[in-house]
Order: sequence, then C-alpha cells, then structure tokens
Amino acid sequence: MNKTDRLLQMLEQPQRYTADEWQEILADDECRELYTLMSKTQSAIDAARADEDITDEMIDAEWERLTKPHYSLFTIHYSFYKIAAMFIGVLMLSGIALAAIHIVGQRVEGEGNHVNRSMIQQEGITTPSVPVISPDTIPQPRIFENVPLDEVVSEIALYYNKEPDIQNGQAHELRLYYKWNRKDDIGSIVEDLNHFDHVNLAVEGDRLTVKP
Amino acid sequence: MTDGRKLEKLFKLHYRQMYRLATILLHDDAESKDVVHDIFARLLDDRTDLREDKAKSYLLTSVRNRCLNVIRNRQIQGRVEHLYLLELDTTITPTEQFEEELKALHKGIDQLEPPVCRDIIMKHFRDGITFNEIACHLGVSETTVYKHLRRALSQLRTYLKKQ
Repeated sequence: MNKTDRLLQMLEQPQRYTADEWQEILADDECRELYTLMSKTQSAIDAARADEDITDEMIDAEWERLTKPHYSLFTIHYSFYKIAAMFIGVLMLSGIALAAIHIVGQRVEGEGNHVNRSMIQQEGITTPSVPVISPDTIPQPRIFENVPLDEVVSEIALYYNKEPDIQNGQAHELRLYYKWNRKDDIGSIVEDLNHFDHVNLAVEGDRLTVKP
Repeated sequence: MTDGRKLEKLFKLHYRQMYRLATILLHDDAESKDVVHDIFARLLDDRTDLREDKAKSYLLTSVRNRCLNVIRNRQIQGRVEHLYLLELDTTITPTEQFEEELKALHKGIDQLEPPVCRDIIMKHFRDGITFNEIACHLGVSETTVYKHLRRALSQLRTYLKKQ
C-alpha cells in the first residue's frame, strides 16, 4: 500500500494509531500536503454550509437557547446559593422526554472546579479587551446535544484512554444532553451519567462499559 | 454596562461571522455553536462594558482564541480526526489569503471531473460519510475510492495554485 493510501486509511479511524505513528506519517511531505489540502477542503465546505445554514431563525433560536436557560438557572442558582454544582440533563427515550436535574450538594465546599458543571458561566469577571492567547488553559467543556449514548461513551472513553464496550443494544436509541468537563476524572463522569435513567456505565480495567 | 438588549443586537449582528470562523477552524457544527454560545454567556454575566466600535474585533478574536484552545487541548489523534490544520499559529489564523483559498476551493469543488470525484468529496466532507461506507455504497474497493479522492484533491490543488 502506498503511503497516501495509508494516510487515508488512518484517517478513517485516527484513534487506532499512536501519536508516534501520526507524527511519522505527517512528517512525510507528500502526506502532509495531502492532509492540509483535505483540511482546507473541509474548511471550504464548512464555510459554504455556514453561509447557507445560518438563517435568521436559527440565530433567534440560538439567542433563546442562550438567554432562557441562563436566566432560569440564574434564579435557581441564587435561591439555592449554597449549591455550587449542578448539571442538567435531558434524556430522551422513544420520544418520551425525561428531564433530570441533579444537584450535587456535597461538592459545595472547596471544590470550586465543579462550579463549571453549572450551565451558568462562572469564569470570573474579566475586562473584555482583546484577549491574548494563553497556551495552556483549562480544556473547553464539550456539550453533547441530543447525542446517542454509544457515541457519547465512545468519545469520552477515547479521551480517557479506555476502550468503549457497548453491551447495551439500546445505547444507540438513548439520546442525551450532557455537559462534559474534560478536566473531571472518568469516575465522576461515570457517576454523573449513571444518574440518568437507563444509563448504566462502569469502568472495568481499560474498558468503559455500557451495561444492559 | 453591556445590557441584555445591546448584547442581543451584537449577537444578531455578528453571529454569522463568528459561527463561520469557528466552523472553518473546528469543522464541527455543535462545537462551533457552543463556542459562540459560551462567549455570549460570559458577556451576559459580565458587568463591564463592551464598546460597540471594538465589539466585532473582540468577538472574532474571542472565537479564534477559544477555537485554538479547543484544538490545543486535543491530542494528535483528536486533531486529525477533525482535520484541524496542523500548523497552529501561522496558517490557522484566517487571513484574507485563507479566505481566498477557501473561495477557490469552493469553486474548484463545483467543477470536479468526473462527477464521481465531486460526489466522493461531497459525501465525505459535507455529509460526513466514511470512505469505507462510500466504497460499499459505490460497490468498489476502498483503494478505488482513495484513487478518486486523490484525483479530486489534485484538481483542487491546481485551483489553489491558480488563485
């Protein structure tokens, strides 16, 4: 197999290859050029999609998404002002939407980092001058929006270097909303996700298992 | 103070451009929406003023920085999975030249020949279908799909060089 075919094949399942294998193939000029061209092609297609898809209605909907939960949570936050950590998840099963609000009271003291679990942005007061790029900031939280459980688990598993093991055949039908803070350890993520009905995850050695 | 109404105006005025920049860098619809969302969520909590004349450059710089952080925080596998550009600080900043390149590529994609080349590009990059699935769908081997893809990309390369 020639090297560009190998690159394309690797791109189908990037997580199967080690960082060294990636560094090696991308050190090759021809492969690197092909990769860059693909990256730019993706950008060109995304730019065109953005121009077509971003309608005024969509912008209005995004504004709603920003302001509605923001203010309602803001109220909750202050009426239970001692509660520093919370997350909201909505789980949908076969068209039935179940909302689960999980308030973690025990995490109040001394665990400021869990405040980020809240949907209220508590990033501190900053002056909106033009920001400077800082090299090593906190990982951005990833928000899963209506994503099937198996995809959520696969993505999380790969990040924590675990092998996803989907034993529950219904995992693809379960869709969830979940805000994942990458700096949290896998144990607390699993604990959070297990608060959803029908979700039963476990870390078993180097596997992250979705149990039936 | 940046009040809600003023922010709403800024949101509706700059959303398109902010989203577009994010999606060019991150290649992901949901993540791009989140980046813009988070910037405004922060501004809503923030009580300091955002001057209107500086708003646009502030917002776009915020988008860029957040996207760069997303990219930096991924390991190489995660980066290539999303087809992020490899040279972070130089080429990733969308400059006028990068915009021109995107325009040339867009035009080039429309004119790919034979049609199967364009089809593969659209299926993979727009619809997110893997090469393996495309191969199954077309009833050919993956190697054949790679061949068409390389042919398509080499045509696109000439469009880039022409501009």
